[in-house]
Amino acid sequence: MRSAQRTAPHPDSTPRQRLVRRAAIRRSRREATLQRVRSDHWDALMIGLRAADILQQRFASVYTTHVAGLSTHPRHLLGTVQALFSLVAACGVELPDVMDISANTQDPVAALSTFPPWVQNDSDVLGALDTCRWALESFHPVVYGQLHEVEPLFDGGEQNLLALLLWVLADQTRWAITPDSIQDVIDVAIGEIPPERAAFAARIARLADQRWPRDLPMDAFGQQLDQQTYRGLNLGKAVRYVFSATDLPFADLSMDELDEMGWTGMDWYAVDFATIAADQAEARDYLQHYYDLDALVSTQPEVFDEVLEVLTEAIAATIAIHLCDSPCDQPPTVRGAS
Amino acid sequence: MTTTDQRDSCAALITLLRTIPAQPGDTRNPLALLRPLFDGTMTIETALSPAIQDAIAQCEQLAYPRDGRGRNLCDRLSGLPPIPTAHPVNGW
Repeated sequence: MRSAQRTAPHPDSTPRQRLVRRAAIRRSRREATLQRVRSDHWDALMIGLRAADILQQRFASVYTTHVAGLSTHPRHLLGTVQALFSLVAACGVELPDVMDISANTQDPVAALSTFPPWVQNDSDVLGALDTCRWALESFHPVVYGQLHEVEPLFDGGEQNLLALLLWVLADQTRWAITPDSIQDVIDVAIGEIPPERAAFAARIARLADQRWPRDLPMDAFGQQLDQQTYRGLNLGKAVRYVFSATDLPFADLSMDELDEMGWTGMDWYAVDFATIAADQAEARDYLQHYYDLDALVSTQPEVFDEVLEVLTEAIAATIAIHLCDSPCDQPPTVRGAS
Repeated sequence: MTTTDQRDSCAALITLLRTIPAQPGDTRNPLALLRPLFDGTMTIETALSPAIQDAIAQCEQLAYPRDGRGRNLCDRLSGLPPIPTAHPVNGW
């Protein structure tokens, strides 16, 4: 009734006055809408509703029983996001640990109403929802792939010398990792190594002369290494991880590559969480073999030498097998192989 | 002083008014439809209904008229089944 009184034309107004009045009303509505849509509150609501929508599609029973009837108060929407992340994490998917919210894989429904201590008031709730925005808009479970940027990888010169060793050795092969000059990579890495670790610098400087032959059959080499362990660690996994040759998205796709892709992420509505969880578990295994072997190679010069020797022997074995399989082929020549 | 007749006619009027279906305050203004959403008095289920989603889309189109990219947070792919029961969530 009141609305009708407000919008009804004044009996004395002219058509022009009525037009002006209508235009003013439209302008006012537009401003009110803009103000509302371009607000933190609006963004928070949309983030929460998106989480609710995903829950409805992917966890229908939880949504129907526990979420559908909740009000759209931001606190409930934050709880909805937390419950969604809890349910996905309960499927085994590892999500980035940068969102300071309370996920509960044991009791996802409890996450609807349990908040981190720092969330005290509505403003905190809106802030928490804002931190979840990127995860919802570009869902990407944790990626384990190795960085391919030289500076951060060798920062401090105390780790990733295994990657450097392999990069240099494979520089001429099909698995070559860097389009840049390998000598530049070596120079940067050596420049990072502190004086007290000069033994490593000397070894790295010699590596360029021991590069693997250009025509080394890398797949066969990888298979050879898959069967080889060194101090309980699978060399195939460590080496494949370095060269992104595992065929696993979470082991082969590095963070910088993902960055180049614009963090497009995955589709919350379509991905199979169980498959993602399994791939992540396998990628973690590759990472562990690399990580543990690197911890040895980067700290003990004698291990650096031993791994180099084991690799050289594996290449000799690979070439021998390759020669048996294809006697007409020219044998690859291995510099440094004994 | 209100007479009995006046009270009866008021009651009849109230009864009549109650028979009129509730209408949104202003159907031409999507923001008006969303007021309960902001007040926190709307349920999440209602908020995900097509009518409310349309109103949200209209408001966002007004605020971001070029193409709305990045703002259509509630876009959805419909018809996708929930996670199959063969992969139950632990504890559920």
